This record gives sequence, C-alpha cells and structure tokens, in this order.
Amino acid sequence: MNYSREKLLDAACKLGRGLLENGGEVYRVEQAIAFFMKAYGIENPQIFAIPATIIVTIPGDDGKAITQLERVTSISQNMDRLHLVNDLCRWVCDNTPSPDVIHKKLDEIHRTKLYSFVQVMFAYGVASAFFCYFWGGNTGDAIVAFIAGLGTEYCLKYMNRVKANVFFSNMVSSMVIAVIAILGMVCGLGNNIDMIIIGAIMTLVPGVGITNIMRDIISGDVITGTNKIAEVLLIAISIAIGIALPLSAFTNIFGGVL
Amino acid sequence: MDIVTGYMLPFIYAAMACAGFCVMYNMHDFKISLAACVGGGLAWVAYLLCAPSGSVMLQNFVSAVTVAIFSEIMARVFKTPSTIFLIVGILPMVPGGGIYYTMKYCIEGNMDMFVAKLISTLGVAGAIAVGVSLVSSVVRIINANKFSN
Repeated sequence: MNYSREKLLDAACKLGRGLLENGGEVYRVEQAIAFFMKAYGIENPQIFAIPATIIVTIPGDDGKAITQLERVTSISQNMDRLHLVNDLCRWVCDNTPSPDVIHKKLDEIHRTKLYSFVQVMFAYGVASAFFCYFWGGNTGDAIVAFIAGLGTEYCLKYMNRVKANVFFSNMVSSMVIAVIAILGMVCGLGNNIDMIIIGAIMTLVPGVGITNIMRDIISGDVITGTNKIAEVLLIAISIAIGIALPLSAFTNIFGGVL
Repeated sequence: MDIVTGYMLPFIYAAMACAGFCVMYNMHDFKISLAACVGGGLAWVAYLLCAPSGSVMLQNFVSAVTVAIFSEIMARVFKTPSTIFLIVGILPMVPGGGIYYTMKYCIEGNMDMFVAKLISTLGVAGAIAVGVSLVSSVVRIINANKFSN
C-alpha cells in the first residue's frame, strides 16, 4: 500500500471537504483527517480547519513538506450525505484503499439524490404550520403559516439563483412571511398574527448555528465559534428587519389594526 | 392539566414540525428521521415537565440535556453522527418567538420589554448551548479515554 503522498493528501482533503460542506462540525473534520493519516501511516500531520477552509500539511515522499488548502464557500445541511461521507471515512480508515477508489466513492455520494424543490417547499409549509400550532395558533393560523412557509422556500430558492447574499435573502424571505401573514389577517383567515409569523420564521432562525456555537467554543475551536456568532447575529438581525418593515408600514402608513 | 392536551398534542406538533425539517436537511432514511422527530418531541415533553420550576432557563437547559443524551444514544444505535439527531431535536426550543417579540417591542418603542425580551432570548440560547455542550464534552472525554487505554 505505497501510494503517492500527494494523492493521499488530496484524498484526505476531499473527504474533509465532503464532511464540512454537508454540515459536519469542524472538530469532526480535523478528527477524520487525523485518523486518515494515522491509518496510512503518515507521521506528524498538521491539520487546521475553520468553516471556510481546511489546511493540511504532511511530509512528502522526498521528505519536503507538502500542503493542500481547500476553500469551502457554501455549507448546507445535507444530513444524508454527511452520514455517507462519515461512513466512508470509517471504511477508509479500516481498509486503506487507493486514493482513486476514495475519489470514486466520493463522486458517487455527491450524485445521491436530494429532495426535489416541490418536496422541500412542502416541508417548509408543514414545518411552519406545525410550529404555528405548537406556539398556540389555531387551524386558520396554521393554514396561513403553511402558505407563508411555501413562500419562504420559493423566495430563498429565487434569492439563491440570483446569488443574493445571506443577509439580503433572509431579509426578503421574512418580508414575504410578514406580507403573507398580514394578507391572511386582512382576509380574515388568521386570528393571531404573532403565531403565524413565529411559526413561519422558525424555518429561517439559525437554530443549528445557535446550538453549535458554544460547542465549538467549549471544545477549543474559538475561531469557528466567533465566526458563527457573527453569522447568527447577522441572520437574526436580517429576520427582525424583514419582519419589522411590512408590519410597521401596515400599521403606521396604511393605518391597519392587527 | 390533561395528559392529552398537555403533553400528547405538543409532542405531536413538535415531532411533525421536526419532520418538516428532516426533509429540509435532506434526510432520506426513514428510521433515522423518525428517531430525530421523536427526539424533538421528547425535548418538548422534558421542557413541559420542568414547567413547575418556574425558570425558563432551567426548562431549556434540561430539555437540551435530554435531547443531547438522546442523540448520543441514537448515534450509537444507528452508527451515524450525533449532529443529525441534535440539530433536529433542538428545533422546538430555538427561540423564534423570542426574536419575534424582541423585534415587535422594538418597533412599538416599548424599550423596557425590548431589553427584557432580548436578554431572556440570549439567555435561552445560552442555556440550550450549555446543555448541549455539557453532554458532548462528557461524551468526548469518555471517548478520548477509551481510545487511549
């Protein structure tokens, strides 16, 4: 099992990238690459990962250090793929296959099917409707929240297509939620605008971020933690602004009563 | 409080909302998704059971610990990262209501309530995070010692 060090390094980086891009934690990426290097008998690997980058340095075939950097621009929560890449990492560490095999398996994982746009849109609607019930809304509120959920995903998808940044796409999506909630109230379907809006914005609120920040900081990844704090605050503020604009416009300019 | 309306309905609502998120997070395995949804429901039942304590922070802390332990167990059962169960299970506690009311008091100009709600929202987020990280720290210490021996 004498594979070229450069190819091994590349394979390890691609595995780490697979974990990070699909929503794995930073410590999991570092740990996986460390186990990989140990399995292939590479001594003293230097591994550093933050949500945007993975840097790995190992001694090369001729003794000179070789480094590879992976820039990760978009992180999405694809739990199924995360699960598959994680399994692949374990399998690789147990069997030490050739780097080409690893690349082939990673390609297979990246071709696995994701849910279609309509399915995801429906999921947004269901989550919004049940969170509306959950916070104490009635059936009319839940129906409006369902429609707001559909609107949210449509808007997020569109914003993603026109390459809007995180702040703007969240702000516009929450404006859509607030407008749909106000329309629902005006046509008499909804009874409690608070419940409708809370139910619908639950799909935007960065719950994953909030949960992971302290874990990162406590486990020593302080850079990752502060990185995410900034992101979470940005999203929370964008949601607040997006909801506030239509609401205050409706009550103050059009003189509506909610 | 009646058991059905008090605990069963919130459990179902929380679990169904989590089911929506399972699709959003691209989980295709039915058993894993089901376990994650049950985790979300359990978290909220733990929250409700702690209601007599009268402290929102304590309620969130306890339910965060519950869902974190549940995810670590399920991660061992399904041989999959515990994050999968954790990020879905934590959702019912995420302070979406807190963010909304904070914003609402802000645009109403009700500064006392705005600050009070802001602090309590940050507190809730902190309580969840501490609960989760407590469990995962303990698990990682146990794992690290197991491998070194």
